Formats: sequence, C-alpha cells, structure tokens
Amino acid sequence: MNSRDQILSRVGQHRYDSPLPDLPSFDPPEGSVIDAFGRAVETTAGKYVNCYADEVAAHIGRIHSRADRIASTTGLVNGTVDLRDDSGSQVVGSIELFVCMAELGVAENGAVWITDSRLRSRAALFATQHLAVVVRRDSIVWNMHDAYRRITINKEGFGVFVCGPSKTADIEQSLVIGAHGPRSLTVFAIE
Amino acid sequence: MSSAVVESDTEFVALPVIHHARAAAAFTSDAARTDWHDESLWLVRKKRDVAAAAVPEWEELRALASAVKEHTLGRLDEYLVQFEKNATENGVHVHWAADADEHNRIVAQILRERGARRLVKSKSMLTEECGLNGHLEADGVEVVDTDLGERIIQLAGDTPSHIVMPAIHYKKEEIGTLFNRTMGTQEGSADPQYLTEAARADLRKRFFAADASLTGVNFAVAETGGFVVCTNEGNADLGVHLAPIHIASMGIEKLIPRADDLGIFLRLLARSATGQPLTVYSSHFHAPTPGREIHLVLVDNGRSEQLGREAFAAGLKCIRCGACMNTCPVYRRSGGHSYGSTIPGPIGSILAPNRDMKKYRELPYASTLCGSCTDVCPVMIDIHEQLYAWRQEETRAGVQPPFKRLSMLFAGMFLGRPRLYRLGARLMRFALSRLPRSAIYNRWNAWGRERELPQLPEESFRDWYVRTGGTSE
Repeated sequence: MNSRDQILSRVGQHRYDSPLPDLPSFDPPEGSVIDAFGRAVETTAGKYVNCYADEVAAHIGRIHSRADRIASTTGLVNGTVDLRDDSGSQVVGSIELFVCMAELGVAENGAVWITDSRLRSRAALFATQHLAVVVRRDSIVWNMHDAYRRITINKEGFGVFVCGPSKTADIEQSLVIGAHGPRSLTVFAIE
Repeated sequence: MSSAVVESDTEFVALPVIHHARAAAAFTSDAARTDWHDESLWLVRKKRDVAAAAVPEWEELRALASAVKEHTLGRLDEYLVQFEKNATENGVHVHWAADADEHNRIVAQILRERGARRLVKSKSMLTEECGLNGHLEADGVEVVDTDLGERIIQLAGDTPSHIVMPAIHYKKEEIGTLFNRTMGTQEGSADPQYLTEAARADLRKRFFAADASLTGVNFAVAETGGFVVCTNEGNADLGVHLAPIHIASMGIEKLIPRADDLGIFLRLLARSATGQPLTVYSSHFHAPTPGREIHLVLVDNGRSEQLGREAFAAGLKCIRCGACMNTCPVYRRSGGHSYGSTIPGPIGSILAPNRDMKKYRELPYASTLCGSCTDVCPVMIDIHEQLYAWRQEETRAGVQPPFKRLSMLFAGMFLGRPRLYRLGARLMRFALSRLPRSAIYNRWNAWGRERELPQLPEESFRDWYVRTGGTSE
C-alpha cells in the first residue's frame, strides 16, 4: 500500500460524527465602520489617508517625494517602472514604491485583500521598499467573517490580506518595522 | 525502597529520557536571566489578553473553532481526499508522507530533480519536527532560514525555544555578537533596529538567489484545495514569489472544511499569538504563477495514531499560536529547551508523549495543572486535563521511573487506609517537630529544596473536627 492509501486508511479507522457549526455573523459596534478601519490601519503602524480618487497621486507625491522607482498597477498613479507579468527579479528588486488597488478592506483589523489581478507581479508586493494600497470606501466591511463572505478565495491563484507594514519582534521583543517586506504601508480609502 | 533502585534509574536510563526538571534547574540557576525570560513572555501574554478582551464574541469564536476542528478530525479521510482533488485541479502537486523520513526524501527529490541547490525557508515547525535541514544539507542543498528568529537560531547552531518566537531566549547583546561574527555588523552593537536591518540586507541577497522556497501551512481549505500561510515579516512570500518552486509542508491535521471557516481561525490566531489583530500577511495560495510549481507535502508522522487515542486526539486541533507557552508559569521559568521536544510548553507536553511516551515521560509533570493553558487556548484543547491524563497513562503503561512508581504506591497505600493514614500523620507530626533539620531537608524532599515547610498548627484538622464536631469555636 502506498503512503497515501496507508494514511487514509489509518485516519479512516478513527471516524466519528461531530456537527459542523454554522458560520457566525457579528454586528459591528456603534459608529462608522470607515473610521474604525482608519484607526485600525494606524494601529498596525500603517498610514491612513481618506481622500478622493483624484487626490491619491498628489498625496503619494508628497509622502514618497524621494521615491524614483515607482511601480503602479492602478490608473490613479503613474509608475516609472514598467512592471509586467514576466518582469525579472532585477526589476522587482529595484522597486521603491509599489501602488495597487485592494478589493476590500476590513475594519476590525485594518487589513486589505489583494489578489493576482491587481498585482501583475506577486513578488512586487513583498519586494518593494514601500507600499501604497487604494481601497474604495464602499468595499470596507466590518470583520473577517464579512470579508470571507464577500470574497472568493479561489477566484484567482493568489490572494493576501495585508495588515500593516512588514514587521518583526524577534530580537528581545522589540518591534522593528520593515523586516523583509515593505518598510511602510499607506492605505488610501477613496470615494 | 532502597536508594539503589532510584540511583540506577537516574543513572542508567538517563540517555533516552528527557529530564525536564534537571534542565529547568540548570536554566533557573541564573536567576536574573530567568526573571528576564519570565517577564518577556508575560508581556506577550498581557498583549494577548488585551486583544482577546477587545473582541466581545471571543469565547464564541473559541467554541466555534474547536467545533470546526472537532468535526474535521472526525472525517479527516474525506476532507483529505477532497482537498487533494481540488488542489490537484488547481495545478498543485500533492505528495503524501507517512513519516518524517518520507517527508524529507520527497522534499530532497523535488529539489534534486530540478537541480535546485539553494533553498530559502520560512518558519515551519513541521520541518523542525522532521529534521529537514540536516537531511537536505547532507544532500548538498544550502538551506537558509529566513524568519529573523529562525535565522538567529540557524546562525547560532541552536534550536528554537518557542514556536512563535524561536529566539526568545537570546539577549540582544548575544545576537549582536553573533551577527558581528557571521555578518560583520559593528562590534558591540545590539540595537534591534540596526541588527534587523543587517539581517534584511543579508537575506535579501539570498531571497533573490534562491532556486526554491519552502513554507509551512497554517490552514488548508478542503473545499477550495488552497492553503494559507501567516507571517509578519513577509519572508514566506518573498521566498515563494521570487523562486520558481514553492514547497509547502503540512501536517494532515491542518485542514478545515470551508473557506469561510478561515474567518474564525484568523481572528483567533494572531490575537492569541502576539496580541495583533491579524498577522501582517495572511497569504492564500491556490495556483502557481504560470510556469512555476507548487508542491504540497501532506505529513502524517504519528498524527493518525494520535487521532485514535480518545483522550489525546484533541491535541490535533492545535493551531500553533503559542499562547499556552506564554501563560505557563513553568515554561516561562524553565525555557523552551528544557522540554527537549520541537514543540515545548504545555501543548508540547501533551503532543510529545504521543510519539514516545517513555522519552517524554517527564513532560506531563512540567506543569502545576493550574489550567491557564486551557483558559487561553483558542481552540479550547483541554491541555491541563490531558497533562493529568498522560500521568495516569504513563503509570498504566509502566514507563514511570521507579521512584515515582514507589512513591505513588506508598501514597495509595496510606491514602486508601484511614487508620494507617491517621497513624502515619500522627507519626509525621511527631517526627517533624523532633527530627534534626538534615533529616527533613534532604534530597528526597523536593518541596523543601527551595522552600521551608509550612508551620504545623497545634492541632490537626481531624482532631479539631472530632473535638468540636465541625462547629466554629
């Protein structure tokens, strides 16, 4: 018997019935979900900007005034790096700022859901020195249950919840922002 | 009871058995460092409390998570087949490993067949359990652990002492010295920001040069055939998306049925682990980028056997958050290495005996049975009850050391015979008040090693009860 059948047969010997619970739903607290989202982004050491779509580029120009190599997959911001599906690691590794859209935001933790179709290069999202993500205000949900109800995780090959800039506390529990991934995250909530 | 029996046990059976108490004694001999370790972990426990308290439905989530896992484990064969089918349809190569050795051989073969010599690895307790690094290195593969904590451990030639914070036992000055020696950082510099930056620069080169990457798996979803990897540093994703081959190793117990179940578990995991509302990255993998490969290795390595042990199967619900370690008064003051198993602390102490009851026989005693581990466990594993159950199991199986066996035999004899007990108690009261100190405080009195025995009251409870009939005076 091969290992697959061996494992399945061993596991199959210990079957029992236990009900699968229904998925829960919890109401948001009082107050604006959008505001809660903004506060949550800041709690994760991210920067939060609430603005109109046509103001994003100006904000980015101000926040990241020194970034030359900008890759953008959204029409809201013009990039300086030509990022393609087949961009090699040299291109990806040189990105200073990556700008993309998120499909949805989660107010309870400040996370944004980003998938393949908004990325062009999966590696760019993690290799960039700084990250800016744009999310539409009407796509912000309260909690993770609401988020999973809204998204289809296997619609695309890859999807990720990003919740703040990359960080570590592996040296004596001291929080350091910018471990291997982006050193900063700016989240724009637009009309 | 002759002392020779005890001696022979501790002297001759010492090798294959993990001596937690002895290792803990060595750890606590540095009192200042023990306090520092204790406080570091307590800080994480407090953050967890704040995060949990901020979620009104916390207890409901724990109950749901436990029920989902309970259900899944009951029909794990079905879900494994469903997962395999869906993952394969997504374009993921699914492999099955009955034990650690087979897992290591599968990974080595994938790398060998593709000529991959440089592997970047994110944190995976499963590969620690399997001893993968050594196996691959023997095969000529350069393995680089990329989680900062794991990298520190790797450079130091050490093993993790915590499943979430592998290098929690190191002081920043020691890491500074290590980095100075291995990466040429400034001598005497121990600034975490500076050291992290140095590791970032060093590892970035390795990420871009890697032929393959390996990650663990936090959750695998049967209905979609996908899997989720959670990290804070971004190291797993950087490795995966830069290298052409992604190998993911997972224990068969990591399955959950539905995509929407992730909502429950992700809300619990990071809050329990570090007090964050969510890890920075929760990456959902379903299909590789065109032209690339994802291999998923499903590992049993004793899990199916554990599933058959009614009293201990619930340990398979564990989502590896580490909350039980951070809260455990014994773990905090004895350090992760004292457990001698990949997964230390309370959860490690109920998982390890499933593999080798004799080797890990001391671990179920590395607990005061205070129950704090059970209280914080996000999937409601009855950890402290299992610790107690393992003690009984060990006695039944005859793997207890003679001293413990005999002392339990005597205790049973006295406690089961009221007359004998009363006589013994009387003699004890008499002896304690007359005997010289050296006769009371000796190597057999483990309690008295660090403490004074309490002052005995003038009258025993029983005498008082007989005299007054239990009415207050």
